[in-house]
Amino acid sequence: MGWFIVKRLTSLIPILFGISLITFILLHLTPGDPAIAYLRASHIPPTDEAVAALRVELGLDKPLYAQYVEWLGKAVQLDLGMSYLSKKSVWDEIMLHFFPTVQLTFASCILIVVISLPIGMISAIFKGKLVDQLSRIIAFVSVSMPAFWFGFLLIYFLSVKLDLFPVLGRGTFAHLVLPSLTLSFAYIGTYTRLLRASMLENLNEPFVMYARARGLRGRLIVSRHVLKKSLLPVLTGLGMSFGNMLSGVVIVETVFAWPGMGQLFVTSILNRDYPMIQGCLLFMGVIFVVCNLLVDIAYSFLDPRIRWEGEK
Amino acid sequence: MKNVKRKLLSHKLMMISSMIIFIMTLLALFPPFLAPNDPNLIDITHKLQGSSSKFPLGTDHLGRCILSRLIYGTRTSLGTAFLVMGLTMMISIPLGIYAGFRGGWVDYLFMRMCDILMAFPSLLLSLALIGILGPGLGNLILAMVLVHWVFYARVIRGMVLSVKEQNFILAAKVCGTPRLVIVIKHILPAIISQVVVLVFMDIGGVVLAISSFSFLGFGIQPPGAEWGMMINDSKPFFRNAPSLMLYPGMMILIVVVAFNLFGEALRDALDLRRE
Amino acid sequence: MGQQPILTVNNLNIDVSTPYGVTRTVRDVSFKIEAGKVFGLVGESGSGKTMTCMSLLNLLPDEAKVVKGSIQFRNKDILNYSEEDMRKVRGSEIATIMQNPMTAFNPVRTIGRHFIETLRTHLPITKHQAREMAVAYLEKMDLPYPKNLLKQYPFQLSGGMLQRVMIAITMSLNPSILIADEPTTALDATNQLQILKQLNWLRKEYDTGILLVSHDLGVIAQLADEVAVMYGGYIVEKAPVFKLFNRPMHPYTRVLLESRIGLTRRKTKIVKHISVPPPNLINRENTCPFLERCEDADHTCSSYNLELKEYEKDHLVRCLKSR
Repeated sequence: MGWFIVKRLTSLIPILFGISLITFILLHLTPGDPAIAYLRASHIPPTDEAVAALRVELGLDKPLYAQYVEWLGKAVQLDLGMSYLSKKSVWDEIMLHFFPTVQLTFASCILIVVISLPIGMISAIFKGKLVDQLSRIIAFVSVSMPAFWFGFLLIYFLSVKLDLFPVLGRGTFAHLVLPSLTLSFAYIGTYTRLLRASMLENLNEPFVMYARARGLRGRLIVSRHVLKKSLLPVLTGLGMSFGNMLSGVVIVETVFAWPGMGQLFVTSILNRDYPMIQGCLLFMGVIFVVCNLLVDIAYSFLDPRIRWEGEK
Repeated sequence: MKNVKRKLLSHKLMMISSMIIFIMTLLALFPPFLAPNDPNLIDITHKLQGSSSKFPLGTDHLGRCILSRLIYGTRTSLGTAFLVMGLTMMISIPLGIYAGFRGGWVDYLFMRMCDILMAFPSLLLSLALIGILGPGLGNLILAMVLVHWVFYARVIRGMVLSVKEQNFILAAKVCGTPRLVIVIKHILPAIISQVVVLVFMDIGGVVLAISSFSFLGFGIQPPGAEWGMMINDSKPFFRNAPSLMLYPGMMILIVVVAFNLFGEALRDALDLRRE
Repeated sequence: MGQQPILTVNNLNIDVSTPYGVTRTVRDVSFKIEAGKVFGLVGESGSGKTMTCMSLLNLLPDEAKVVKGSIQFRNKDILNYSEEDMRKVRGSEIATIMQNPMTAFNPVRTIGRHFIETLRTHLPITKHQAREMAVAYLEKMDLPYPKNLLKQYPFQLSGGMLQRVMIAITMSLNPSILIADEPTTALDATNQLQILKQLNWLRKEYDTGILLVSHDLGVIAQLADEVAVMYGGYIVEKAPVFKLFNRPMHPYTRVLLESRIGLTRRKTKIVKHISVPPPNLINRENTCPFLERCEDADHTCSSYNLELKEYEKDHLVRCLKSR
């Protein structure tokens, strides 16, 4: 078990290295001089002297690999540079915006589980019946729905017309409902169908037949035998989606004016705030990879087959 | 009996979705003949009007005809989506086949690159690219292709791997058939139907992604018409004129549902043939 | 003999609907199982053995249905049981050993959980008591380190061990009937022998009646008291084990027996048997299922009404040409 984790952790190193390299290179693909962009963002006329002075200040006069090493060394110490726009530390800004995003993503995860599990289970048990057909239609619509539009529909009908929830911003618990519903909607369809398919597959396994032949109650067979095994792929998927959702917030946060990472990212792109773009991308990439790693480890704890392989 | 019914049902869905896609394609190909007005004609005196004989779906905040903009938007959305998919495939198919067929260190290098590129959430990476290249339709297409080819190339590599070990390929190898001939005459036909299904299953997602980018303001620039951008434009007015936001969203939903249905029906149909 | 049978199957007919039409997979099947006796059921795949077993537990798949006949268990027709009543019978009164032990257990649950949940479904006992019972029965099956075994997952055990665990679970509830559907097919020779010994011990010790299904005549010969040969859904021949092996009457039974020793002896008629494909049972008229493959068939066979005749005492054959 410990060995498995060590192995997975080592495989992480080249990927993290790759992420940092890509993030660094991306910035140097920029058409035009970053120094000029910096000056523009600061509303200083980009005279030749000002540019040259700034290039030295930002270390842009050094060769590329030296810049990379220097940048990486700082990044490891959580120094991601200074935002062109706000002139604050990129790391501090990220930390400020990260928590609201995590909050939103967590709430969405909970919604996904609470809604998909029962619907998926019921549609597997009543396969082909009306409930199943309905859940299929909902699933289809949910994966085809543009999130930003769905968000507006929710705002229009539930906030403006019925005045049930606040329209924009972050604050009370009620503020959380619509954004997390919007964020989770597409995943709800996916996971309902995934759980249904997984359960149907397991219901046809010989171990279900044997459980019935031993006289076990139907409810017990579904809950202890079928559901437990069917949940494994769903949980893995959910863990992976957690990382994906962290990027899905870009849209939802824009719609609901939610002060999270997504907004930070969009604002920095609109303003060509390169250190901030770079910092956000690096940070989210690392978070995404770490999420997947945690899922892998959790999965090996949950599935005895993999746990055993690891021990061998 | 159940089986027959299901086949018919999926057939019916296939019919409906093909119809929608056909109509949408017509809209995308011939907007000048179908649109009642100039989509970019600004007329503040007519702003935010309800439906009338001149403007069947009313006008937006600049007095432009919504229906005409929707029709022209079809061209932008579908055209961009197909362009992105086509360009992606032009990179992914050769690279995926090369990595899968060649194997060895080429494949190893390819896979490691995939690991790294796929370590980023794709939406974020595309956004970052657009941020660096600057907004605009061309840059949007470039950014999406650059990010998405990895995923497809990896899937195609997997398909090639499973075909490569089959007897008819081994037989061709034993016969001394040149590699390029094996790839073109044996491997490509064996995987092409799966690739087509993959394309149609995912094109709906590409339409969604493009409209999302436009919504954020990174896609086509004003005054061009695009559904996601129309929703973005309507943001300040949607309390009083919800239809401004309703129609383009409906268009996106209909197109994406149609493509997803079509893709699924296509997959089922090809699966049946395999059986 | 002369004992009251525990389970009596009368004139059982099962239809299965497939995408290509309705098949009668079990036709006019009748047999009895007595306490402490082993009734063997032989036949090739698709002859209706497994469907017969499933119907005894009232666990036929959705597309299969009993259309005629009765299954009397202690003089009550279990086909009329409610699902809840039937559930109580399964495992405690009529138990099963599955064909493939490797897939019969849920891979994400331990052996102990399987064992304990079964005991606690049928007996009013605590978890602790159930665990002690499980240990005792695993010991009886000569399984080493039973306490440890309960904590293990199915994939950590061999097929033979899992099969013995299944027998232990079965035994612990002391059922009057045990259905063993191909209990040895998935095992190697050493394990096969051990399992057969344990089944034999089970019926002697607990007086359990066993329905032993197999396509392996060797297994049947070792254990069964009475044997029925199935072909195309019919029981084509039924007799006490010695009579059947010494004097097979149905042409199919003869082919079956010859194919076993055919490797070492003269070339036999099995050539014809193999060259003709097995019968298509869909929408088939009531003709002899073995007609196309039979060496002895002639024009009279096509109009034969397929009656099961008693040619000598307890020896029933469904053939016009039996000699």
